[in-house]
Amino acid sequence: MPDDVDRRSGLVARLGPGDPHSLLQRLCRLAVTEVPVDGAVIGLQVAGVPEGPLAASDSWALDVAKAEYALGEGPTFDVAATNEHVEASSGDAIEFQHWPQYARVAHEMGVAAVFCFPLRIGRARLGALSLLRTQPVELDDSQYLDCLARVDIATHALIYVQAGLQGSQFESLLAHRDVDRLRVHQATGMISGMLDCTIEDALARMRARAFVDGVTLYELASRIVAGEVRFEEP
Amino acid sequence: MTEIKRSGSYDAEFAHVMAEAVRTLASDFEFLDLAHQLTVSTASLLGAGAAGVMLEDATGRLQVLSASDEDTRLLEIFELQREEGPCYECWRSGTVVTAPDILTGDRWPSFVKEARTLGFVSAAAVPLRLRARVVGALNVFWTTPWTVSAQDMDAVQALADVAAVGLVQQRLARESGVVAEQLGNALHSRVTIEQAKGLVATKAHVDIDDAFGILEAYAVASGSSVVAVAQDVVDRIITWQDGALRPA
Repeated sequence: MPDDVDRRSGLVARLGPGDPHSLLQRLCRLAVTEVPVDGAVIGLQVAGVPEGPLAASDSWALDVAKAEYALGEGPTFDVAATNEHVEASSGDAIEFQHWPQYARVAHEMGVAAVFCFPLRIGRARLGALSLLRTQPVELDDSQYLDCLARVDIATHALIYVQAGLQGSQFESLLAHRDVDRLRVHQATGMISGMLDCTIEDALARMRARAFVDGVTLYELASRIVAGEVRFEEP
Repeated sequence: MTEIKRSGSYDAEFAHVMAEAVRTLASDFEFLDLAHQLTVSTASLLGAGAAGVMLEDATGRLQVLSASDEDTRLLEIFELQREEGPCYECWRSGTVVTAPDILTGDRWPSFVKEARTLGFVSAAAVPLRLRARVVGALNVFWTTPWTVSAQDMDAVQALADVAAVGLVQQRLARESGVVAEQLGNALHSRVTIEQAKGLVATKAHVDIDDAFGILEAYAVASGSSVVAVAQDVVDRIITWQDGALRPA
């Protein structure tokens, strides 16, 4: 039984309005103050390959992320390859040995534990949320669930940034509870087919269109599935 | 739809359903496929019109995972129960919910309105438990008046328990954090299938429900799971060419 019916809405409200880029940054900062971690980074993924950090809670977390991308190995790369969450603590040397170069650099920079979560919607793979700790401590159950709620928000925020939408629009559209209904996912697949674009691009195109048309994502999705709205290459 | 079964073969069919589920548990399986198998078995065993499984997601909301039939209207009956209905009540309370007559009373107004259009008149939901947590529910609908026995409800609970075992067994789950991720993985499989349905519907010029049939037929012919085929379709590893799905 859930202790909190909708962890998402409270979190979105605390993020407040603002431009898309600072939205991701505020999300990272909020993660550090509300979950017991010391740094947070949102990284972008394109065609299944990590591209680089988009936002970080502070310069330390950003530097750790830059080092990881420069090395081309580490939790973010494993998440991109497996599409599943990765966690490692320096208390458990075996886990860090998996990335010999990253383990060395992370240790030098004071990282003792890392939790990295895929940002995804179905088959759409958008990026990763990395949470860093300076102590080799595991997260307990409720902290873990707090992280997953942030993963959900970060995923939607990333799509909004890619759709070129503003922070205030993010709040109003995500607050709508039909954002993840089956029809929305069906319509995303249909857009991907109509435009011959990736499913990730389809997610962004759909949100931009919903904003332009002044309808909710679910209303637009219902029209697409009913064949009333088509997407065509310009 | 289906006649209520009350023959001597009931125990034999239940034993068969359990044996089949255990065989799946012992193999390399997708949780969504196990859930689908269990919903089909449940509906058949209990002479029900439909059965479905809902799971909670990471944001603490109930989401549809699988139904005995991929008809979008049926899936949406489950989806409606994100906020009301027997499945929602069962998940919130952690107890079995029976609704011998869902058409009278104003317990669940929007849900009843839609359930009525598919001819459902009675329902039951049993909790999906993982250790102390209720992570979802198995929900059954009948198109016939309520004749469900205590034995039937025990059978539904047993099938729900098998589903719960499948959820943790898919990978060794150490803690509820990992269970939450398992739930998430299963729900992402459902979303992937919906995305693939949309893509195939557009490319093959068929409706969403027929698109699922195309995915399923390809999965059967190639000996893979529908989820794996759906992933390959979204990734364009399998594409629609010359009137059929084929490797790109």
